[in-house]
Amino acid sequence: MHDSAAPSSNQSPGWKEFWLKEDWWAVWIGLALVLAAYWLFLSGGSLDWIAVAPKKWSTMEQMGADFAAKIPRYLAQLGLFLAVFGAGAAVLGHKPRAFVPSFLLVYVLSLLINIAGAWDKASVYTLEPPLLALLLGLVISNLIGLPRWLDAGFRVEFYVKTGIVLLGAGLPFSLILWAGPVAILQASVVSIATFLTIFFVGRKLGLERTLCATLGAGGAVCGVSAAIAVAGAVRARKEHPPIAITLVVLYAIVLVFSLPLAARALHLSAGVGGAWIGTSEFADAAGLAAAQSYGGLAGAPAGIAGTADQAINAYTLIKVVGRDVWIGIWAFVLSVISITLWEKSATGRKADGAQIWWRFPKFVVGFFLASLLITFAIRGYTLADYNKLVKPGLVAPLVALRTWAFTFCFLSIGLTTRLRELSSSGVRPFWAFTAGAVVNLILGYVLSVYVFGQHWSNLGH
Amino acid sequence: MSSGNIGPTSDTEPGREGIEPGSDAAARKRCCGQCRHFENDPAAIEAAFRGLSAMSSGAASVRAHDGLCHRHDLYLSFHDICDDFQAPARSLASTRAG
Repeated sequence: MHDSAAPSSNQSPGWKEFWLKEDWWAVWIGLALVLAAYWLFLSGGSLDWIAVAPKKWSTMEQMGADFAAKIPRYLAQLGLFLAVFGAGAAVLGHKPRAFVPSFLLVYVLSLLINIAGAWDKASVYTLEPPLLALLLGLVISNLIGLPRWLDAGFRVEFYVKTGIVLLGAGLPFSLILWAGPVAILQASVVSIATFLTIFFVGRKLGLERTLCATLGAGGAVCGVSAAIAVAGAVRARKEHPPIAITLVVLYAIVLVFSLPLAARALHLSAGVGGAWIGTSEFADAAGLAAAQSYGGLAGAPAGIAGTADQAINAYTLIKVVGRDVWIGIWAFVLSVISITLWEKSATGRKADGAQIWWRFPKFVVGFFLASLLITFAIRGYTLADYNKLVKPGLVAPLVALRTWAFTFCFLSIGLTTRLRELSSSGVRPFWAFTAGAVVNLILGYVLSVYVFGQHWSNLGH
Repeated sequence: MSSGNIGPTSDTEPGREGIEPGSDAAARKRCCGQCRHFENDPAAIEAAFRGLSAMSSGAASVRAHDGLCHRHDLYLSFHDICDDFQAPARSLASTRAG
């Protein structure tokens, strides 16, 4: 038992939320970049210069020449990322002397990954940058090993949330309104079925209700984040969240590689594949890696129907709009059940409905605002003008910056997933979670392919 | 705030006795988040829950201000209350000095 006489340094709720939570930092950074891009676009300029990325290449000479010509732009880009992510990390408690070298490593490795991904034969050899980043990170952290202090720059959630806010800028709000209800319906059916399966199989196997709820939320809603949110809401034992974390991380790693392979083998279109991944992958960041990889297979030579955007957009609609935004409701309902049914006492007990907002994944606010802003910015343009002016001048640089943020994230997943350090889950939690995973995969496939297949195939048309 | 000792009931699992959530103004001053046994620093949570930072974060909004209770070995809300509340050492000292 911890019995220190040190004064409490706990952070209390309030306005501090706006600078002490990673979600809000992702919102500020993402929206600042979108606003800067829009301001430059209106002034006749573009963020294009700093949103640099490797060009497609087929020979080493081409690759070398492209890299050499872009060195000043890469340095400026590194400076930009270091400034914005470094500021956020410093306020969130990470020492700059640890963050800076760590982020330098992340950036250099990401640059190498993106250069490899720009090879014109990359998709033939399944060298999609997201999976390559994840794999490289896993190899480094598990076979080579890095000092723990370098974790300061491996902020998976910080990067993925910033990327998702930027992703909102590529998604017209009308598309969210059109496709959102189907995403919510599909995700809700699968989430409820998955949660109930894990919960009741877990109970049948003799697991505690709070552990079943924690595992169920991890499998049904948004992975580790949901598990930790529900664990707090139902007052789980402190050994319960690590069990859920282990199972979510292991399943997420297996699915991030196997779902794109399965979708490819089944010849699913990009939109349908993205929807299935959004429904059945457990963690936001890992699912995004799978969806982006699958989107990269769209068109020749892999022959997957649809576009890369369809895979990403379908995934995001299902995962973010259909699953993530409801975590506060899940936590509230489960805390009510916990208080009224699982831990009855002589005195009256209350569950605080305010937690629906406390636990709301705030980066989603930035995602919606970015979408609204770009929708406002492109109003009045014809399709021809949009393709000629708006897309290259405003949207494409934001897509490039988003791709960088996601690469940082995928690499960081691998770099922070140290398999030896994960807690042992135990056999019974494993089987309860596996039962939910099977239901999730089958139901997610049936809804994505047979029930709403047409909807996801035509997304954005 | 708890008005008395909350004993275990037939529906209360072992180890959870005395823990209850609350929301009235007086209770907020003595909520778990203000207790010496409570810890919710993001770095401490990430250190306690290995693997958390691989796919989530100690500083994520979904975690609200939940933390670890080292008295009962539970992971619970900042706003919960408990009969075993103990003010941090500095608060006790300043109370005595005052």
